[in-house]
Amino acid sequence: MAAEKIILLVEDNPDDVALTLRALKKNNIKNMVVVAKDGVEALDYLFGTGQHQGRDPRDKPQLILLDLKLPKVDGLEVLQRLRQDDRTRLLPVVILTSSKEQRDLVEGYSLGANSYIRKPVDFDQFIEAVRQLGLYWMVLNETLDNA
Amino acid sequence: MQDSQQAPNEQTLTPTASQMDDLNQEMDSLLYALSHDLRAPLRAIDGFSAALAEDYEQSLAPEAKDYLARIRAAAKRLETYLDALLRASRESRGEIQLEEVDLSALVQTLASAKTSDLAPEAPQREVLWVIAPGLTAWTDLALMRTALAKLVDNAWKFTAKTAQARIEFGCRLENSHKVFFLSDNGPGLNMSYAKPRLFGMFQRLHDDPDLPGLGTGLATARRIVNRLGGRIRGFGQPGQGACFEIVLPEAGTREGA
Repeated sequence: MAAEKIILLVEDNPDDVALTLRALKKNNIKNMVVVAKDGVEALDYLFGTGQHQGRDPRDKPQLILLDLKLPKVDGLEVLQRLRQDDRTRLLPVVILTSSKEQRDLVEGYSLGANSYIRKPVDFDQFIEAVRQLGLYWMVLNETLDNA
Repeated sequence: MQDSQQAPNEQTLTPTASQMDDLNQEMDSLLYALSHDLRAPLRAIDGFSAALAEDYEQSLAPEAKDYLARIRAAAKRLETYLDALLRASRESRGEIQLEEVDLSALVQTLASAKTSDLAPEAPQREVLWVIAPGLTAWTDLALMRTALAKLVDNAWKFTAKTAQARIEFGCRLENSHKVFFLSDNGPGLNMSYAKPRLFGMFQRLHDDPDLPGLGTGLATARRIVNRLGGRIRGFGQPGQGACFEIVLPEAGTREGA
């Protein structure tokens, strides 16, 4: 059996974490979700460094949900670091943020984001966005095998 | 008054064009931060209200459910305001590129868009447009288009219930300065209410539920005209239509241009 498909949620706001987990649950998306509370923690998780020292970086998440405004290292910098590293440069990254500012979109896509979604305020719309996102990235989309 | 010996206190009180630009930039970044940072708690308010209503559906009294519905509706309204604020700030941004702009053509295009068969406003309306030809100004095309669009939207909206609606764009001279105006024969303005609030953000001077809008149009028009170094004013009387006037700096007089 294939290893469990993990979602890495990079989000510093505990309310947004709770709401995202609830939206995933409402949509029967039962994958394990690892939460990183800032950019440093996300990079540590992916590269098996710092507080995730010893974690095998070859166990890659199936999908990264990345907020842009993060403490310590912000989302765009996390993305840049991922794309510069051979181990993570092809990982699907979906930016999930409050911003729909043109410069954030341009920078996000320029740095190699696979998708860019603005978190709706309306929770019903948010559930629907997470449903589509989960269906697309966890089921429909073919990603490279962990190698 | 002598140009070179302006009273010092007047100099400090009247911001220059570049100071206005700095102020506007500061305002933009403030608006940007506000609209973003306010969305997260708003999402929490709506999300957890929804969770409460759903998870405790059995134990909540109808009154409690009504309160939750009101909280969610208020959160949505606030989101609409935030988005409007962000849009208003975005619309008045952009680098200023001065050129000879045909304002008559701009207004003509805006008018045609309103009356075209493809316009979303149904049913078709009969509006008499009187647009003086060939009026030009040395200004920024994109920003001026947005500002005029707000004035045209405003005139169009307020003449919706006017029989034989008439919207006029023209220019008159005041101390040899061009004063561009857009006037309509709609319900007009009560200046004792309108004067301090006409160009304020989210100010709606009517309580007609049939008229759409959040009250950002004229505020955006003023921000743009201010950025362009000009002045805008509006006046009218109840039952006698409204008129909006724009004075732009003459070519070569804008500081830093």
